[in-house]
Amino acid sequence: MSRYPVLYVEDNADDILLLRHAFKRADILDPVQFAQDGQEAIDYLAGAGKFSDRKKYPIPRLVLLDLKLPKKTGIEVLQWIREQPALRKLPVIILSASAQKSDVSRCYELGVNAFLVKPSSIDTLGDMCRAIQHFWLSYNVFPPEGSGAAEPIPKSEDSSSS
Amino acid sequence: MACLEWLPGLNVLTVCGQMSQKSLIAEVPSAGGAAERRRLARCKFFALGAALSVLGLGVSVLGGWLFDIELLKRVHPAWATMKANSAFCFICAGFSLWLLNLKPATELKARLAQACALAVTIVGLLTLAEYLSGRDLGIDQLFIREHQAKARAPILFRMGVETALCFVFLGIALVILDVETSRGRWPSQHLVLASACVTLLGFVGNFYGVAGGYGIVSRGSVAFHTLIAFFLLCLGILLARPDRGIMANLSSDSIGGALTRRLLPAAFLLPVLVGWLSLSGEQAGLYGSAASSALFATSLLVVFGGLVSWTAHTLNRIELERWRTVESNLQLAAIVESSDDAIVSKNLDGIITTWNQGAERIFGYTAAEIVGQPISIVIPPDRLSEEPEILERLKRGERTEHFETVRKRKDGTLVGVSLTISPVKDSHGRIIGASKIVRDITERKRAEEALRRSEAHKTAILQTALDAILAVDQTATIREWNRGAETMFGYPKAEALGRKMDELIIPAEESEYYHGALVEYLATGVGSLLGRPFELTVMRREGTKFYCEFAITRNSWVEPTEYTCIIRDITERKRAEEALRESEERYRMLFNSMDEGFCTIEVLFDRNQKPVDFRFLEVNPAFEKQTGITEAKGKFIRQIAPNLEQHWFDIYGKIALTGEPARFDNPAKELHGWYEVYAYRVGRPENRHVAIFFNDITARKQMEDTLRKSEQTLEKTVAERTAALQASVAELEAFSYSLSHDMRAPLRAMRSFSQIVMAEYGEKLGAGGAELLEKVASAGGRLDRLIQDVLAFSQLAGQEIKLETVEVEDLMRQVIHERPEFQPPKADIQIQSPLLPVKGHQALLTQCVTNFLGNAVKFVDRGKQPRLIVRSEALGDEVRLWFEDNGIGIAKHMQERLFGIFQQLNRPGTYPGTGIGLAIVRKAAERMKGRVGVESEPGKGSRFWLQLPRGG
Repeated sequence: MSRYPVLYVEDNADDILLLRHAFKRADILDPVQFAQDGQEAIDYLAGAGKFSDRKKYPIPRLVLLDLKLPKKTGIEVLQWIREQPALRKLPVIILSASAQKSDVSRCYELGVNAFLVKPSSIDTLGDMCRAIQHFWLSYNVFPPEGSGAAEPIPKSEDSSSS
Repeated sequence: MACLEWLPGLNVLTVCGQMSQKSLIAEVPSAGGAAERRRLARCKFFALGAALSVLGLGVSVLGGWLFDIELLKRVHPAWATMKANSAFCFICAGFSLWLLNLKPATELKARLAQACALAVTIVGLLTLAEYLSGRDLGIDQLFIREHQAKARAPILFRMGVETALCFVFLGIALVILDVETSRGRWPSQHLVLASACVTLLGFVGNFYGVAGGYGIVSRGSVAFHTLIAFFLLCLGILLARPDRGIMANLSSDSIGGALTRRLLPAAFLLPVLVGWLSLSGEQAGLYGSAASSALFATSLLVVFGGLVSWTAHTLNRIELERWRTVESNLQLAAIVESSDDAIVSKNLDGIITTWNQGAERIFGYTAAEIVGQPISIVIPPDRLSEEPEILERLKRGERTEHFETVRKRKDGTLVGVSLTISPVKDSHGRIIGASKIVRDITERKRAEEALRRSEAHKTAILQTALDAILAVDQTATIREWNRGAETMFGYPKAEALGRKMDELIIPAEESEYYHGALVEYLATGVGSLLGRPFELTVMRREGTKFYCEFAITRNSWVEPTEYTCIIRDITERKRAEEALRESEERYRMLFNSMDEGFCTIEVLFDRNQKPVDFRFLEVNPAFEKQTGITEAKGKFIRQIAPNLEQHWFDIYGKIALTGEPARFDNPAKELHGWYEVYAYRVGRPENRHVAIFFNDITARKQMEDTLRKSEQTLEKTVAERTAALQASVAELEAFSYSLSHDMRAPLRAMRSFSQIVMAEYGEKLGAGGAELLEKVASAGGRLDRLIQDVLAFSQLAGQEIKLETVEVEDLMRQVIHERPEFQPPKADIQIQSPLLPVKGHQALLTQCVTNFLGNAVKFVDRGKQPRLIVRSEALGDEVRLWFEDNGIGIAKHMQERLFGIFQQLNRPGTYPGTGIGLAIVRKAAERMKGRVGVESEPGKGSRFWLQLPRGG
């Protein structure tokens, strides 16, 4: 079990619930933190307000970001993240309801790492999360710094999850 | 030259000869004249006669002695006898003299003569020896008969001392008669003269009655006939060689000879006569001997004085003449010397004897160098044969006049010369040489050549002229007719000369005009046709007529006055003039009738070359119509429209200066309008004339303005509408965006949660419950698919797609590969390669293909394996993709609705699908500039086709 969570930025409670289920089905044991609007996401990552307690709210090593958010849109959040020197290398995956070309284009321009469309079936969502776990959390080598003060431990090939 | 008359044969050249360095003549002037020759012949004849008479006398006396005939011995009883030896001597001498005078003079005769003469000398010498020694040598009696000899004293038979002396002299003289010393002296003459003196003494003494011998040497007197014989002998010997010694003086034609011949008789006779006269007077007792001598002396004095003065006078006259002659000869010599021509004389052998300065100049040789050389030295090798020919003619006494030939200078260059060669004769008329006058004709030849060339040149000019050039005289008779005239009229020169001009070339209809003019001219001396060209119809030989330009001018350079006619064929020119006139006409017509305004202007510049004004030179009628300006010609535009915009002047100024034409539209406010102008420079650049075509386009401009305004309005409208359209498109996009997000979110929840419930609480629900939940989930799924298709359909409208070449085959294989439902055993899809590439959009095409394949797989009879054949067909520059399936087929009346949106042709639920699929395909095809269609029959499968532009 790693100390670094995955941050899921989503305003729709149903979707949050579904994701929890999907993670459970995918046997993802990484902790998941939630931010429910754009500003909260920024605060979390900045360590502002209640999120300054890093013990309770540790810096995530992966962000799952919805686009349609109140207060600040996902794209704004992404832009903010990429502007922070400490957070620039933080892997961000968009998890959006639709793949409008302009949105996708803009996100990649801003340096998003992946763009996923929320499937309507829980089964597919489960597969997707499993894939995220395998690819991003097991195989992927995280950047050495910039994902907060912590140094991630580079995983070996025979990855034992967490 | 009167005195020269009696000096016949005296020749100028003779005297000239004296001036030259080497002379043709000897010491004593002798011209070899005919008179002299005769004289000489006569002398010789007399000598011969004398010789013979002496011989005869001697023979007779000797005969007398031999035959004792007194008569012969004495001839005259009072005379003393001639002694026998004398006679013998006389015979020998006479014989000798005769031999010496015989022609031809052979060696034998000479020797014989000399032998005789020698005999004479010996006799004389012996006799003298006898006298001197007082002994008798016995020679006196050689020829005397013995009885006679004994009868007398021997001395009686001896010749006198004088006689002997004379014989000695004469004998020697005869021996050496032909001897001439190197200085031309003749020794014989002295001996002869000596004996002649002795003889003369005897003669005169005899004449005067002096006793024999003067008592000087011998007692006895010399016989008279001996004296005569001596005299004859002396004379004979002297005359035998009349051109020698003093005889030459006597016999020559010179003054000396002539005078001698005149004076000598007087000199001989007068003293004797005078002496005899005085002696007679004395003997007659008129006066004493002293008086006689005085008389004699005085008379002699007078006579000789007279002779001398006469001689002096004559000589003076001759001298004067001679001096005049010499002077004139000097003049002549000077003329010769100073002559530019070479004056050269040569002798008959061709040797140069005189060489004047002119010759030095022409030939380069000085006189010193060349006199004595043969004349051939100056003759070039190829002309050497001329010399003998000339000499031949010379010898015949013929002159060679103005013989043109070539001679060679000292430096080897050749010079053209004209020779005049005359023979030179001596006083006897014999040709002794030649005088040549050599004139350097190089210059003359050059001038001649130049003249000839100039002549030829002028003739050539006349002959090569194209125009006909005639010369006619006062009666219009043709005197000259050049080649141009021959060609123009067809008459050769020979035919034309001498004919009257009007007969030959003036046709009938013009002849009146012509004759009128001619008559007028002849009458008044004033020619209306003279001196300026006029046009006339003339006629060729064969009768064809043509127009020509005639020009007649008077030519007073020749005598009598002639007239030069130059005739030029102006048919062409007339034609050109006519054409020009016609074109003028046409231009005029155009000018006047054209609608466009046209004018020519002269642009005026100020001091800084800035165009400030222009003046109308010419305007056409349309000008007034277009501009409203009347009477523009000659006026300045500033007068008419003072505020005309500067740009007009600038443009016209530029055209006038640069010559570049310009086309433009410009307003002219004062003239209330716009003008469309085309202007260009005309004439010479320095004239600054510009021609202008223009049209009043005010109306057009207004229309254009209106049009532009409405265009602008239209564009604005369009822009507005487009903006509106874009706004609605944007709205639509926003709508679909919201649709995809907001509508799908609850759907997601519905489906997913039902699935979770089914998964986690399935057993608790039981089969019915699970089934119902199942239906909820699948309904949710259908809605989701519908939303997706609608989204896809709507997005098709808004997107901008770029069309590019798509490899259909690759695309097909990829689509099949990605979907298991398109792969066996679920479906059997065959691709007939090659599938031609198309021009389209990768994503849209994928959508179309997916839809077609999906339909093919879906709409089959239950239990049947869907089979699909995909192939492509080339149709011009488009490609048709066929999707041929074995599905249920489509009825005809359904086919129209097939591609409409939300069309499901079967009962809903029979076959899965949203009904939008084919609408999407049609929309996508339209966006890719293509078409879709179907061919089908129920139960027989369907053949869907998609036609797109061909890919590259």
